[in-house]
Amino acid sequence: MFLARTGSGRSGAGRIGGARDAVLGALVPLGVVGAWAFASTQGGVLGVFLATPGEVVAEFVRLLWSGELFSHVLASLSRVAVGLVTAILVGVPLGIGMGAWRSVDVAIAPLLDFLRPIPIAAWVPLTVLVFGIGELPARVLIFMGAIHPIVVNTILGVKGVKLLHVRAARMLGADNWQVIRRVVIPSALPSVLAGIRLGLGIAWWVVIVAELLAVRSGLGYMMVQAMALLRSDTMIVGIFVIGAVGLGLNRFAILTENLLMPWRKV
Amino acid sequence: MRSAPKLEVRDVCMRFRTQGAGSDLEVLKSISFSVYEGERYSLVGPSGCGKTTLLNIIAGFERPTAGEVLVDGVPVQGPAPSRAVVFQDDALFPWLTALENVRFGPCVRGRRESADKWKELLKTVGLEGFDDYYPAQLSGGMRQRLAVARALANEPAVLLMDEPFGALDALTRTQMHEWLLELWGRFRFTVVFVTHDIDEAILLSDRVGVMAGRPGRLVGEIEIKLQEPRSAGVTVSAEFGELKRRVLELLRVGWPRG
Repeated sequence: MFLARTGSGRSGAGRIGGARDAVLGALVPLGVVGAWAFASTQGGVLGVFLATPGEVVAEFVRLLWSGELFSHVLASLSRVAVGLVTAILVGVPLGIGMGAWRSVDVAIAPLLDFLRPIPIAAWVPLTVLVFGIGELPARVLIFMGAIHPIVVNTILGVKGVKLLHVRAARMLGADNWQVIRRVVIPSALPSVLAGIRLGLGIAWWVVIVAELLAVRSGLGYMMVQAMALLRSDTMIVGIFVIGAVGLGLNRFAILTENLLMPWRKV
Repeated sequence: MRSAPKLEVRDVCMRFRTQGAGSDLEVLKSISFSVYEGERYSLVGPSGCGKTTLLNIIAGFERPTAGEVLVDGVPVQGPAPSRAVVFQDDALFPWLTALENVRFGPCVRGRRESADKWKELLKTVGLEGFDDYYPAQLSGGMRQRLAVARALANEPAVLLMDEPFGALDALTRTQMHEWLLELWGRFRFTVVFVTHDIDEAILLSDRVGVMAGRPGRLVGEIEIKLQEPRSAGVTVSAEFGELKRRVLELLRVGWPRG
């Protein structure tokens, strides 16, 4: 299998290979859409409840025109922003502390190690019970999901700082604070930003789960409402939009990383 | 009698505690030598003789078990801008451009100087026009020239160089020797150069301190008097061969005993 990727492959090195890859890559999704179109026009339960591709496109246009879709996307994104920024503000200093001082690591690592494998969905009922329905439980859930990769990657980044770079800074006259600001932080930055990108992916995953139960707006809520109204077209639009926004967020994160670390692009 | 030494290493001893071996490992045994203003001093010796440890002690990265190091008569307490280091491995900051690397020292020390001064320094080390390049975009030889420029930017009392050209290919290394000799001719900085390459030590120095290992100690010092300004061509001369013979004798390698 790997032999296929050593040639023109996914990098799109060759023009002919690139065009062939595009056709090949489109075949499977087209097949899936075809199967869906076929299933949705059959009789029985499947035909009744499963919207056709045409109905989904029409619903997408309707949601787009009415502005409904936009306001739901905005609600979900703003929640992700608040939860993720909080996770960064807590997670990065925590990771620096745990990476730099053993006692901090020993005090905090056991708790995080225990919490990390618990699926965020498991926290939803308790969070709603404690915080009620609204923005707060959604933000708390996003925070809890996004903080783990940020802390872990920050620790890795801080521990990966080269002694040689610290010594170089010292002999050039840097004090403790300057070593942290001018050596430790830029050294750890690639790892920290990778952690934030992972956290962003998790936050997008969590916000949808949170909106199914904990809050009354956003893409997740739009889909729960659609379920009550037996509107599979709205749900499928939701699924596509969630996927597209998720891809966009990842691309945005990579662009930001390249912007913040120009030395890594070379 | 010469003036007071710029750098004085006094009876420096270094022991490392070893796990389970019972006794400590003696890495350096009462090392003493002096380097004078504008002098080029090399420490040459086999791998593991403690020469890098000795340089780290002079730099202030490690504390000796006994003895002391004085720069301009002041005891060394830790790393400081009076002793700039050019490391063996690439120790440039990869996240800073060539110009930002050179400015790092003066910048952290709160000196506000115009970029022109540092552009001029880059030009001096042959990196004109590379101001905005990141280290990863430069060749090995260019990176080490940049490392020397970064060290000189602080105008240190002593420049410490730890096998700075060890990772370069032979031809580039010879070019770097020529370059360093020319640079020294211009600035006359005081430099301590650590290497295991005897030719390099002789070519680049006014005095060579020869070290032996287990425990690391100075076994002799050789004054190098060669025609100035020096050039790499001198390494094939008869007088150079004679100096090399004396170093090899002190090292007791490649020469029949007795």
